[in-house]
Amino acid sequence: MQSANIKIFKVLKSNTELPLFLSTIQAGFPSPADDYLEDAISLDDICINNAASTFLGRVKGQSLKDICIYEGDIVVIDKSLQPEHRDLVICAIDGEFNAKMLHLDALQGIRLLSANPSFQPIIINELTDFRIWGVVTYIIQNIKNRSHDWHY
Amino acid sequence: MIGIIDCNNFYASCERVFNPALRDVPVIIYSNNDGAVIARSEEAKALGIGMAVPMFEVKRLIKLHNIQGFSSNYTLYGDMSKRIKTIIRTFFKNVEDYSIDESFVDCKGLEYRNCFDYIKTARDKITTWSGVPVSIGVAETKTLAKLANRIAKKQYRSIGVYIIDSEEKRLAALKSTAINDVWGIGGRITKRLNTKGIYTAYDLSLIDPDWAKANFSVVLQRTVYELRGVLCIPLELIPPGKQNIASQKSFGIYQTEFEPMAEALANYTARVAEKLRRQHCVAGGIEIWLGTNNFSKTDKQYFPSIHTVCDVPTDYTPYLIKRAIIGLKKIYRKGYLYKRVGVMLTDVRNANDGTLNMFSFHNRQKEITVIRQIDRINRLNGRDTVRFAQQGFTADWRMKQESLSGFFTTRLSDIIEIK
Repeated sequence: MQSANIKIFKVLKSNTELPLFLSTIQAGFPSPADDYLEDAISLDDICINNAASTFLGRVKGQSLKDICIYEGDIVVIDKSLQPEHRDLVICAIDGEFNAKMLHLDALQGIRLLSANPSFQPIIINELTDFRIWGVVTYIIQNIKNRSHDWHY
Repeated sequence: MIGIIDCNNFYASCERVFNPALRDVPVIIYSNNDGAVIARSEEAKALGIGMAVPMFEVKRLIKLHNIQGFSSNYTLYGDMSKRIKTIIRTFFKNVEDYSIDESFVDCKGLEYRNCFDYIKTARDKITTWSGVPVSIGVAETKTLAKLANRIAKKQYRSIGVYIIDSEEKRLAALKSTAINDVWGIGGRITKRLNTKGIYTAYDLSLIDPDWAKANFSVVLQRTVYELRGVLCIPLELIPPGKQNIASQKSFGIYQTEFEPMAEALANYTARVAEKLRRQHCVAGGIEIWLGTNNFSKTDKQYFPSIHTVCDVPTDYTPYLIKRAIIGLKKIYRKGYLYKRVGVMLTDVRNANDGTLNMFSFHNRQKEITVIRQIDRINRLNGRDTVRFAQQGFTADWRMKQESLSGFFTTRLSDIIEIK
């Protein structure tokens, strides 16, 4: 089951930057916490490894629903990564961007799989016009808006 | 050794990165106001679409050959250029950014390892990481590197790398290049040199450098030396200091009234102020100017300009707009057909400069809070989501951009769609 590979983070609303110093009045006693503050955690640091080659895309349609990626989700794509077996890749097929699971197999060759039974796997042969554009590294989902759809 | 990294058909390639349907299709890019063709893909060049072809002829060819035409999307090209230059710096330590799509790089020391393999790997990675194909030419001097780059583009396109590393290669490159394809040799000098029997880069490399200086210029003398492999134009690694930030654009249609021009000026001012804040700078002065169409032989001509000094060096958009409009009021005269308005921020310095004015009350902290919030909202929701009233909503003055593609890398609403 592929969904085991996807981790979903719930991101709470917050300012991305914390102030470096809590006290602004210079005359008073400095905040004892000043010496212990660190730089804020940034979502960029988590989701982006190579900023210059990272692009964002928005999912349309239901072809990845079995791995819990839905319409409207934002995908983080890194063009600098070498695509590997089982990667979720963005590829250009017939003039459109598609997200597919890349399967490299000695017996079955190169196949592009969707995570939805109503989509047939695409088998790549020499004649297929296809090119891998980038590798998906993270998914951004708005869980707060979606939690009403859950059957719990 | 010096290398030049040049993006192949940069504008057309940028459009292609985000629109797979453009692959192998002829693509052309229009100038500001969609008035002329400024860039073409290889396929469009092959169809004979020249840079100087008039628009009505271009429109006919577009229908005939199913060409895809786009308005110039400088927001996209600028961001892609920035990304490519960042990637280049992961492979080369010393880089001179020469233009939006060209960078000179220092290849010193690479001769001690496998130079070609290193450059080829860098070229392939820059190409795949950004999606924009690049070519790299390497040689002893900048002028020869440019020649090498041209050879890489013309003869070794799929490899994308050419290195002039031997005397035979240098001579072959010189002999196969016409002088008007040599870096820095324009049309007029080409004609004059042709009358003297100098046709190829090889001919040019043989002339006496002192004769070139005496009869032409020191620039040509340098070119002659550089073609011989003598380095005269070193890499400029120190970026030029903070320059003035300017914005001038032509109107879509001629303007006669004050209000629409004030609106356009407010918008250009908002743009340069944003740029100023991105560079963490403040401006001490602001210059604005107006212009009529200087190509018209019948219209009355008027090119006024005015410079004003800010009370305190600032990056606060409302204040800068106010100053700009006051300036415009002073120079605006009725009865002219205006073609353009421009604004330039002068005396640009670091934001922590801290110059104050003892005669004006100034709440800098409040300004910073307000403008940061506005920048943030506009960054997330698109430019001018929050705007200043003077910027208006009509935009009759705006330049024509009828076939603009999306801001795929800088605006969340425009990111690519994935099925």
